[in-house]
Amino acid sequence: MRGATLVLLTLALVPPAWAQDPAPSPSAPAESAVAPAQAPAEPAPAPAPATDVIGSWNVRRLDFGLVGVETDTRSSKFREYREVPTGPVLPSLRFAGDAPFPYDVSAARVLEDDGQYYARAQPGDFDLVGSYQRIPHRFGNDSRSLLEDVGRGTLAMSDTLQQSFQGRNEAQFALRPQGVNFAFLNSMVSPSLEGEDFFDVKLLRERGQVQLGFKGTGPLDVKMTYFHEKRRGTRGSGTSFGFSNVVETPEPIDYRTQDVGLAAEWAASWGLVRGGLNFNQFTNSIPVQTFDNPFRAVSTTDPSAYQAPGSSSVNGASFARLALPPDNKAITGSLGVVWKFGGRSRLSADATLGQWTQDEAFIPFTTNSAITTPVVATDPAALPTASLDGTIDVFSFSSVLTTRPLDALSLTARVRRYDLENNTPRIRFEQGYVRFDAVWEDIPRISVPYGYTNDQLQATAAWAFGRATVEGGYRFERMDRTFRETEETTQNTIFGSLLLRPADWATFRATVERAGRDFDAYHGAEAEHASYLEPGPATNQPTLRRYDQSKKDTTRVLSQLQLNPGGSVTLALNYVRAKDEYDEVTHGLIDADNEAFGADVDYTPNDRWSVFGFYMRENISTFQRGRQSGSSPSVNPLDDWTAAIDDKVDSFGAGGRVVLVKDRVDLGVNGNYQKVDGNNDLDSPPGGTPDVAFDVPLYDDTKLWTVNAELGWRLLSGLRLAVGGFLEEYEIRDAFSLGLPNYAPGSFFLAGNDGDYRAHVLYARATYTW
Amino acid sequence: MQRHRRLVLSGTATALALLGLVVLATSVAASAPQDQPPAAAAASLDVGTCMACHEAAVTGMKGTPHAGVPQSCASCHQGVEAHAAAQAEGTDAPKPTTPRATGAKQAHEASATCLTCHDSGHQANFEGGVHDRRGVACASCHSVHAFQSVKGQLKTAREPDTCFTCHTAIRSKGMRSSHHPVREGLMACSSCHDPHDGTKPKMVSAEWVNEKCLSCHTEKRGPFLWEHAPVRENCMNCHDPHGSNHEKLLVAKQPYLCQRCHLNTRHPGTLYDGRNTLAGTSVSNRAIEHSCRNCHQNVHGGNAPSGPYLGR
Repeated sequence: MRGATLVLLTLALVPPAWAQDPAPSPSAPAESAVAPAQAPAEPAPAPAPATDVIGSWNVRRLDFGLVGVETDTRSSKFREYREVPTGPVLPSLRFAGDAPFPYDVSAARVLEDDGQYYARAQPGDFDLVGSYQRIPHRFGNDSRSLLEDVGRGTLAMSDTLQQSFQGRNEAQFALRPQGVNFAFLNSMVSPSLEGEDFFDVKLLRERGQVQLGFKGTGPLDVKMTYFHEKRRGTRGSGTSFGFSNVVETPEPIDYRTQDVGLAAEWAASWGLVRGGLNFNQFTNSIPVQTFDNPFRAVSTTDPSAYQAPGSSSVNGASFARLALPPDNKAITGSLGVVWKFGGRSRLSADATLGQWTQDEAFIPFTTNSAITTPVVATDPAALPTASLDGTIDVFSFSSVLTTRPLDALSLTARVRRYDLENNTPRIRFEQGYVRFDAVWEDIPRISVPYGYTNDQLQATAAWAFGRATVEGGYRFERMDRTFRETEETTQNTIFGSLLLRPADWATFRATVERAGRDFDAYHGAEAEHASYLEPGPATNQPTLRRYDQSKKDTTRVLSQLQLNPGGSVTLALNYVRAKDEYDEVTHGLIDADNEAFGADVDYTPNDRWSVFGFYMRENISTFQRGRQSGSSPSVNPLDDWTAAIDDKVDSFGAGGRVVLVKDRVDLGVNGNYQKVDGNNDLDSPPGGTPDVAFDVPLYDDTKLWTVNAELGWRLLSGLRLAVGGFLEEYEIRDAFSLGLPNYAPGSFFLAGNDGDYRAHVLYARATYTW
Repeated sequence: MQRHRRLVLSGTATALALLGLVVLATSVAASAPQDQPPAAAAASLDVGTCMACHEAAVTGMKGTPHAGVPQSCASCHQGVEAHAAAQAEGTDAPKPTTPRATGAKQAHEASATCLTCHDSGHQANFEGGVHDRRGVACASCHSVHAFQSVKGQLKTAREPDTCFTCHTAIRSKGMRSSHHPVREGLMACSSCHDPHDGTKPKMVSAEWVNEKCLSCHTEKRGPFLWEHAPVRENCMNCHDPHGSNHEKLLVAKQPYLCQRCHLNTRHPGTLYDGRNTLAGTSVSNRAIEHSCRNCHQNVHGGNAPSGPYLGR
């Protein structure tokens, strides 16, 4: 492999014979700071556009090369969002110019799974833009499952094997129910799992967009857009037959999203008016997934079937059905105005009105043909309604006033409303529903169409004292909710900021915010009861306060000092902190603190070389308290447990570029590293349940480091050759997934490889411009 | 009903307050000195004159709309003609202005030059936005003469690197194990944020943060038969879009994230600790791998009649 790579790299270094003239680059060299002391040309009698002076331009650039890759594992993480191929590649190309009209055609990673393509043409008053992009997402390689995709949305296993597992389970259950345990099940399924083929769980987005714009010399600017996206592939799905029979499956994905938009803007000296209309449609060509139960070939039921297979039952459905994301549509209209008045004031007001709808046919209560009372649960006619007929109406309004009545004084005021009114009908399931396709639950339920309204007001005043600007502000936010624990929460925030420029080469920015959130009343049981037609006692811990609504004090600090003494050195020091304190909460999230500080430095003494480096330390901590309960909420403080979670993150990067031979040879080296050390310190007081807790020190600990280097050689004026490569290493240590097998107690897992890797990539590239 | 009345009252109060501010601003600002756009082009000064000394600056505009600006360098730089004349005479004259916010020059003063032309679309909402107020001018991110990016004339080749100049903590989050494909170059900060639109909180380019997320994750829009309230309200209740070392950009690891809201009887409130990990003595399928989502997979909302617990 290495030998082949070297041969390919050598071949790539052969320069093409057709290298011609140098081409202008869109990225011009740095602006010269000081004008040379020479007499300028005689002023021309009349001004002319720069185009008349610098002439027309064009870019013709083509990159091609060869890549060789070596990795020590098949981890999907290496290529999670990118393609790193082996062999010939076309990393980029660009053709752009201004004749006969401005145009630009470019592509990156041509023909690869992460390729990007872009084209733009501007003939006359029109502006036509098209783009196409591929985005891969790899979740796990070398996954395994007993189930195989045998059709669109159908994941099935061998009937013979299914029958065999059922028979052995039933026989053991008849002999000794306690014998249906993990050891027994594992010995039964493992040989079959080990014989299954590997497959990769991955997804590919393909997005294309076309935009046609019209902007003449007049005030009207119109844009029409069409967007189309296909998503195809699989991702791990937590399909389950009950507490003891999780069957993770590769959920089939075949989505299509289309969007059509029309936007227009009319600009005048007093401001502008804008509006738009947008239609968005999501369709899922696989709206339902079915998946076999490895332990049941014939559907059966009993009151404990949702715990099968185990000592209490070996029953359940032979297969189950999962409702995948339903088709939906959204239509949105918007209208806005910006009014400039008084010379230094402007008022903007924008409103949008939208409607989201969804009416996909419901799947039946269950697949389990043994469930026939109180209804024939496999019959769609047993449902109270055939589909949701769901509608959400969205309204938003935003208005901002900015004014500078005095040179030194700036004022802003902002008002916003976002109203999500969920007008979906409430569906009543008077007789109950089916649990895990295993057993009918005689618990009448009703759906809960949540909605909310968010209001925000903000006002700021800033005063400039020469090189310093001080700003103070106040923000009010209110959230009105339906069907939740709180009907209304309000948050008051005061903030101040300082912008200081003591010298032309120094800038200091700091912002401090203090916010307090409160609620009208917290009704823990009401939210839970909202989804029951005949509510019983609440099951959630009554002292719990959900963190998105609970009383909270927030402190935020952001500060940065940027120094640029002498022009060649830039130094930035940063400090950021966000702390949420839920002081009145006894159960739930109690404290969240996120602190980061670091430094960036850049040194560019001349155009021959430059270096940079950065470091950042983040201390992220949260503290929460839970309480373990049996069949009713515990009131015993000894049943409490706490989780103090800390992530310590160190990140640094460094790099540089040096011109070894002027206009000929240059070398660039970059590297970065990040280490996350997570720890979950769990505690529980003795004497309760639990009475002891064991820490989790391997808590998503990760390391990632990358070093890359490239040596470039401008062989001819239009030809640059480069050789380079990168070394990347990734490591994750997570106690909850490290060493995950395909079958664990109570669960089948795909167990794809998304773990550690070390990769070496070498490439040779020729950039040809003409 | 009470909620509706409160909303109407608050809306009315807000509108009145806003109207008051408008009246105040109008009356004060009408008598205030006006910002002047840059001096009109010196009729006799050609860009070729400037190019004689500033060739790199002029040719740097090649292929950009600025190259076609008909009023020469003086369209953006004040004092050009005096500078050129002084250079021709070999005498000193102040350098022409640049639209940069340095020293006592405020960001809005620096940006005024650019906004003379670029005052439409969302750029019409730049003034008064948080970037403008915190001293970030157009030239803080963009360069007319020496830009490095293919699009947007940014000072850095990659858009995120421009943003990371100030937002360094976000750069660090982007290096996490779970991240959006920003560092791979398939997304950029502007995929979600509009740095020019000061009317939106966090400059998110949507009316509400969920609408931004749903523009790519359209399958999660619903409405659903069984909704998950905090999901419907704000995706960021559970996700950090800038990066996380927990799967799916979660702000915390399951089951502990879920247990911040669900301490119900039996398994939701149960402590899952080191014993329940894969190396533990009591491996639990409620803790390992995807934890709660091993069963409650439709956590964003479900459409199955038998899915009130989001498992179908």
